[in-house]
Amino acid sequence: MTAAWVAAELIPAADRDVPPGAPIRLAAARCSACGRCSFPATGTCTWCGTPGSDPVLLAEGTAVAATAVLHRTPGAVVAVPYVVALARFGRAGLDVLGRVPGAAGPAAVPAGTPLRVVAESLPDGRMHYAFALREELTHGSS
Amino acid sequence: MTATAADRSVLIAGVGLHPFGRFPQTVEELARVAAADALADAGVGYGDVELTIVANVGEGMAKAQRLAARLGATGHPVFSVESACASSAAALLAARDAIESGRAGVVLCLGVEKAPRGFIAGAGFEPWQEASGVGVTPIYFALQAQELLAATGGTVQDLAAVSVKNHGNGALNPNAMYRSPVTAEQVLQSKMVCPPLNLLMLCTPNEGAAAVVLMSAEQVRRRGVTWPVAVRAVTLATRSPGDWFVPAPSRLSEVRSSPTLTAAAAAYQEAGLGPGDLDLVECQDTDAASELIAYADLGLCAPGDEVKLLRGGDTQIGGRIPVNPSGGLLSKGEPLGASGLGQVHELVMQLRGRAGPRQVRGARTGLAQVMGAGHVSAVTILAAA
Repeated sequence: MTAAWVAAELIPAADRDVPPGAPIRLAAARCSACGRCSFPATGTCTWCGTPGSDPVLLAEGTAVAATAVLHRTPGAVVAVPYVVALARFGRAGLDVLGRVPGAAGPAAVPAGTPLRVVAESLPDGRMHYAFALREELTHGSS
Repeated sequence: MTATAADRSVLIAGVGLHPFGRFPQTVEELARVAAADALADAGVGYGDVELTIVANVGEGMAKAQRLAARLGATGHPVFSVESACASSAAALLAARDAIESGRAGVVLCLGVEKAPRGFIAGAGFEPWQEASGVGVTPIYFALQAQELLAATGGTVQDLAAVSVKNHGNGALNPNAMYRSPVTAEQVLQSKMVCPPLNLLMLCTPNEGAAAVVLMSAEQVRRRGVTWPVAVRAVTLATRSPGDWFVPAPSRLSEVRSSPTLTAAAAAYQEAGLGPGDLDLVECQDTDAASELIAYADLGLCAPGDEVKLLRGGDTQIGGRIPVNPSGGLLSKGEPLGASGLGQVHELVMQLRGRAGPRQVRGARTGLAQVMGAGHVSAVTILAAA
């Protein structure tokens, strides 16, 4: 049975039936008119408003900057503290915000750190995307 | 008689304020106090107002009509605008245009807010962003701060120095929420929120109201307004491809721009002025790094020189271009719908030479900038008439 996702539309259907920690991809889109990518993918380009795009999948990126959330915020189901990074996906030309659950602090994710999109099980049982430090994935999952 | 274009140039005839902070009074009462203050300052009654524009974020349907109800029932148009932290600049923009077009000769802009305590919620995030812990506004400020420090060679000491400067100015402002100077050590030892930002490097969403009465030149002359201030520019920009701000979960990697850059360029063109013509600036210091980012976006320095400008003392009262002599949002707090008109209140007091111990000597021209969720930034330039 496919797990419940916080936002299934962010993940391609082929990547939704995976265990926590497994590598997955993010579903972005490249505009067929202006060539820019958008994440999340929508029916129309978020930059030029043109309908029509090609799917682009984001898997491996590098950190641009990182911080941490130390105090619980309204609506969040995740436990604090946690690290958040902007990950750069070079070929798509996109920087995407996401949690880095395996990082001890922002200093563990300096600019240029290799990151991988993975599935994460949140405390409420739903699945979501997160970023893993790529060296954590050397055994078995890549 | 048809007013000429010159008669329709726009001036500020009066400003009013309810202090920013936490208060037992209702939001309607905060609005009434600021509006009454502004009307008295302009020497007019509410019956003279031909259009009321209310700026507010948190109240519900028909808020403009409810918030203005204590001023009277005159039958004139009353409506609200909402553009997050730039709401009251949007009100100013609409008011200026209404006067320039000849639709109205006397317009009241009224910004008011009673914001809940804590992080600003409902900033346009999708439910998945909030649930997964990335729908948190200080994350954006913290990441921008990290990138700024990396690009400029700045340190957390520089971020603390912005807070020290603005809290020092706020100690001279009776309308500020926090009126005690702080040391860099106190800033750096305050609770960490999102590294590198400590609590005292972030502004507090709070309560307050500010009001501005705008008039055409013809109305100013006819009514004999004694101390008008000229509106030289009001511009507002929203979301270019290279921008990144709350609540976007992604951005383009290579293109870098800012709605403040766009709004400032348009404002300087509209005013026929440049950054070198300014005597003071009130900017959106949501956090200490946002003030530094605004230095370059507003053209006060070249990109990369933000920290140098701060360290040189240029942005202190008495410096080359004082920034946030009011104490900024860091010491005043941020009542979202009122903060922009609060900046205008400060500029008008400064341009009239009535800012007391925080007066910028010889101030003739000032700029105000607000920036809010949805990548919206607005710039206002005022000059002594």
